[in-house]
Amino acid sequence: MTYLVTEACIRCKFTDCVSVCPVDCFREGANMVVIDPEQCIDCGVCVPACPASAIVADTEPGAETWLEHNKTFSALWPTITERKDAFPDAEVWKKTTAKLSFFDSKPGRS
Amino acid sequence: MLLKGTNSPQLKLANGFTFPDLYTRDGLERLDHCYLEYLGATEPALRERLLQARANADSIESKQESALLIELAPTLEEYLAHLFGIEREIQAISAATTSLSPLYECKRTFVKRKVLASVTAESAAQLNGRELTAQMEALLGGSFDELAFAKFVLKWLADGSNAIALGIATSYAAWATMTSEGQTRHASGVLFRTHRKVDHTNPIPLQRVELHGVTTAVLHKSQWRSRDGFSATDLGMNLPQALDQAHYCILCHPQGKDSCSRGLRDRKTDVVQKSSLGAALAGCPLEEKISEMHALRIEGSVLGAFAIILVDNPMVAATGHRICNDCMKACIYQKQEPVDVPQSETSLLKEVLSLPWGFEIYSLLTRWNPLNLRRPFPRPSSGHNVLVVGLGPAGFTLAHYLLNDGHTVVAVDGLKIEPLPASISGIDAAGIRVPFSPIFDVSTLFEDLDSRRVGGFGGVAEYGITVRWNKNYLKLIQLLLERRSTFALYGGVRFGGTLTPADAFAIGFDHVALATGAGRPTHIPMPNSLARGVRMASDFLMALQLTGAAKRTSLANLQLRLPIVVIGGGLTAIDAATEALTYYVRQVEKFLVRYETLAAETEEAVLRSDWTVEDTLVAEEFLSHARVLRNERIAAAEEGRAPRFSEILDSWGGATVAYRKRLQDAPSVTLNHEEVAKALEEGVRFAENLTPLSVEVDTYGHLSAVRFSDGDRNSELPARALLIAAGTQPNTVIARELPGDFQLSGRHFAAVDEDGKRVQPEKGVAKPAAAHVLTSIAPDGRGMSYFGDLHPSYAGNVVKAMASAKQGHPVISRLLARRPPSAITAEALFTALNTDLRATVHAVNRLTPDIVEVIVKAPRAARAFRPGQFFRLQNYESFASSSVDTVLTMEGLALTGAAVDRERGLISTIVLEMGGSSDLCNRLMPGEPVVLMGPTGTPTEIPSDQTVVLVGGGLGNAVLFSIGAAFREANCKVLYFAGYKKATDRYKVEEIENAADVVIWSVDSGEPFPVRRPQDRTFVGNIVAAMQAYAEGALGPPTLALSTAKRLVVIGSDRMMAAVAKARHGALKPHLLASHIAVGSINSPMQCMIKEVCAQCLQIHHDPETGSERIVFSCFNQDQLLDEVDFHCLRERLTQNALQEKLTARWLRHCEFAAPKIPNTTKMETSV
Repeated sequence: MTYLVTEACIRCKFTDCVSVCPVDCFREGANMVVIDPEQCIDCGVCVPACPASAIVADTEPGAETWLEHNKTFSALWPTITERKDAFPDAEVWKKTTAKLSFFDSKPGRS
Repeated sequence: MLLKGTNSPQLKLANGFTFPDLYTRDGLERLDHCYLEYLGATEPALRERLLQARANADSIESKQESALLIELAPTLEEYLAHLFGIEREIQAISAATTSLSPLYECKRTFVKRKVLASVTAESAAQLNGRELTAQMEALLGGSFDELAFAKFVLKWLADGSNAIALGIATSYAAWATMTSEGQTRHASGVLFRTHRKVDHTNPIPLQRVELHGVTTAVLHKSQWRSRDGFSATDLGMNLPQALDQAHYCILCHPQGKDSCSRGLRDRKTDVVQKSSLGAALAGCPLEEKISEMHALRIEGSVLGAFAIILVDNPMVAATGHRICNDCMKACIYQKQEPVDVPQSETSLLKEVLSLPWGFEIYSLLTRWNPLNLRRPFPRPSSGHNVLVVGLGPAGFTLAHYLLNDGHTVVAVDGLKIEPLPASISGIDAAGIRVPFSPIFDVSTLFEDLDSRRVGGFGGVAEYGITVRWNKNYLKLIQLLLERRSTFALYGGVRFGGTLTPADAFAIGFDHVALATGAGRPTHIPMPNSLARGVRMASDFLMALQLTGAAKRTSLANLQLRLPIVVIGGGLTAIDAATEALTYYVRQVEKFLVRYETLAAETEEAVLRSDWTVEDTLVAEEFLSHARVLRNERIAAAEEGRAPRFSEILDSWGGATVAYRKRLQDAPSVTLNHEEVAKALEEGVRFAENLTPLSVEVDTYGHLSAVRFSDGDRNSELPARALLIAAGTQPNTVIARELPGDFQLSGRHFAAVDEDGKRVQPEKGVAKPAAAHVLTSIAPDGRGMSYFGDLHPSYAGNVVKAMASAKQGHPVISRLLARRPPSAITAEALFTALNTDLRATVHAVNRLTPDIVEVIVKAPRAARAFRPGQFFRLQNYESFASSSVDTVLTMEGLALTGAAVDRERGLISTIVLEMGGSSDLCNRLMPGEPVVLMGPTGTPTEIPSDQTVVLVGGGLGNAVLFSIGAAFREANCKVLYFAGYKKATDRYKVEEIENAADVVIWSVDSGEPFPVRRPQDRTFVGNIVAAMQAYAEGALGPPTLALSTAKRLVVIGSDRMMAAVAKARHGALKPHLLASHIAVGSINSPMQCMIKEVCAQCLQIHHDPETGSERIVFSCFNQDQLLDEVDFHCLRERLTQNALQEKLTARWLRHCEFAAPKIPNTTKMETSV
């Protein structure tokens, strides 16, 4: 059981989720964060914290692909434990739905 | 006495309320209006939402409810603070909470997020703590505590320009968090205490040690904790630690993820998940609003947090730390340490209780709680009367809920329940209501558990739970109930004995709720299974904690030697092991003190004059051990440390828990490994995969070892005490006594739904879809229900038992709503029961130099008595005198009813003074309240129209008065052999003559008794010889032939009964019908006498035909076929405490000699 970050995070990266996570299970990529499913305790506290509604439970329809995505990149990216500023145009990107094509697999700056 | 403080301030309630108002329904309703007005004046919208929510309480969504309650809670706190005039204290708590918040802020943002993320354990190990401390001191201007550290770090973080200082702080924090040196420095702190990952498959890290060919699991000696005596072993967290838990809580309720309360469920299937050890993670059985409590606690709203817990758990004093942990097991943190909710809850309770009038606030909130949307204050009187049977956790919680539902509640319990001072409880020992005073400082009620008066209230919570838990809380629960004017409790009353269901309904009860808990302990059949040294764990724990052997001042005898082996894998086994180890120290020290005191007064040879060779051996063992322990105590005092007894006890064999499966399979581990770990800290060993094969005995017949098989090979663990904790069964013994009144389904009562249709309750869930608590409904709507450990859904622990009451009480109320009010008012009911159920001493008469008659006024017990039955007589500790550091409280005495006067409600009991408790009867005063529990046992079978032979020895004759009279009433011819050791032993000659057509008086030696009736005979010699002489015509022609008797009833000492049993197949055989039935009244040692609960009275029987062995409980039926009774077993059981009994008898004489003896003012009455 875990929660997962979906493409809605891409190019927004508000990172409010990071400050509420009790077990520091977020990992930072260049333009999105993911959850380490091994570390997530399924508390769900990050879900309402996300301004982009990017976080879903792994039981949601279509979550399987995001499980793979979070698994893969959490193993490669550094841990992020503190909130940082979102991208300047985050509010704009928040309104965009299909963003996977903009995904950047490089690790974040943490 | 209980009340230490005399200068407590006056309680002045605000808003025109008086203290008595808080105990009337009208007053509470006005209080509710007053609060709503207050709320309306400050927050009108919130008041409107509350009223809306109350009107739609059943449809409100739970997240909405939580949000509303959290908003309301601070307003309730303000209101209560004003009401009780404690605004200052409440503000102080709030301020203290706020002042500590930098600790948690710093822990979260700095220690966890920066330090742990940036420093590895390896690099932390290189840090120099002393240097870092010095550097920090330089930065902070001197020595610093965690709070100062946190404040500075937060300031530096906010300033953003203190890189050097932050660097040092980071290193210091890394050292404090990650090195063992740093952890030790901050052991009692919170800032650097981070949460470990949990290894579910190996919850307790243990060492394996080979012992007598058995591998045992032990905790490394460096982790052992020293324990001395029976004071509370764990006082719980302080405020910073408890707040640390609240801050650690994620506050899952807004997400609907508060698994601590609702259970950890699979998101897809909604099925409750299991721990890796197989325990269901169902969360708090009461579904307390835990996350909401923490949200309020963090904000400093202590009364708000408390009130929100009380919505679901008004009896919160009986839960929490070291009692329950279902919440913690189901905490959302499954991969790391869970939030210690029980600690958090208990700390909250302590915080509230420590307020001025803290108990009064708690008490009020159990009756009026505006956060309870469904029933903010008690319902109007329903006019219905409910009898609650059993005052353990299920019973007392149920009583509370039923009172708030408007019913009159009477509770009975088979145990002795000490009265509380009427000045605080509002009810005196006679059951009369009196005005009571508010309690300013609850700590004045609290006693050291090591010397505390044993209250008896709380059932298993009193005698089954160790001093890990603060049993003073039971006193608070007793007060919560006893102060209610529609409640009364009667201790020493056993349902099924004193009262039957038919009696209850005839008296005017509309419903009977059974909460009698667990009963019958499992006996393990094996050779020598009841040898001396073997006890059921229930017997041991009850003798220790209820009869009071644990106390330094007690006269209770409980002889226990080392090494100790405990068979079982549940918490009872674990508790028995720790308490036995601790008791051993207390026991031998007490033995030594009394021995030395007595030896100073007389010669040692005199002291030892009645000791057997084995007694001497055991005494030397006790005395030498006690001297070693005393030396350790002296050494410890000199070195300024606590004495280290565990290692010494271990060297003498210690205590080993032997379980038939693996450690991780043991229910104690799967359900509560924390308690197992705590026990191992006291030096207890755990041996796995051991199936008991036999008990080995020494040349004296005492237990010397237990043989086990581990599947492959056999091994032998040396043991001088074997405590059996192999599980219990629901206490449904009443269904066997009164089979017409109860339906069983397997081991449980059968369940019916509210229409009376048979249903199958869900097993072991604590949160069943439907609470099927009813077991029968009569056509007129009267019914019976069952709760707690009796119930398959709720059996298992204290909080599940309480959940049964919470979930089940509406079923009772719905059933009662179908009936018209009872014909009898509460007042009339209480008046009748006060007369009927409260026993007092009527007179004490001396019959012989060592026999007294105690006449007790106990009308209902007198009416219920049938010949052959017996009672448990006890004085109250509250009224007992004390002398030379000894409180003269009796162990329960099993006494037969010699005669009854049903009209006057009097029962005559005959007591042989044997040294110890029985000698205290002589001190009972007329009018003194006592416990006369019973009648118990089984009435003697009285067939009609036949010849019956009664054979009585000494005290046993007392039992035969009423039995003989009953036989004669049934048109039987009674031939009575009355035997005595010496002429002065004879008493109540006329009663014996009245009980028999022919009496043969027999005395072992000296002059023959004079004969008063022509048909009677007299003889000098033993009783068997008397029977033989009579039958052979040596005493003159027999007036009633022995050979016509179809039945022999033999009552005397075990040796006398054994001799008669044997002679029937030898010397007496030619004179007896081959087909005669011979019954003895078996005087097994007894303690609870409430039938099959403590199991002290276990007795082995052999089938005379096949030789096969079975076990009976003598307190269930004392009348046993002589040919089946194993008299060797009886002898061994009776002499388990022989050495202690001998010393206690001398000690009591010493006490009575040393203290002015209370003059015996009892007036003589010749008979009842």
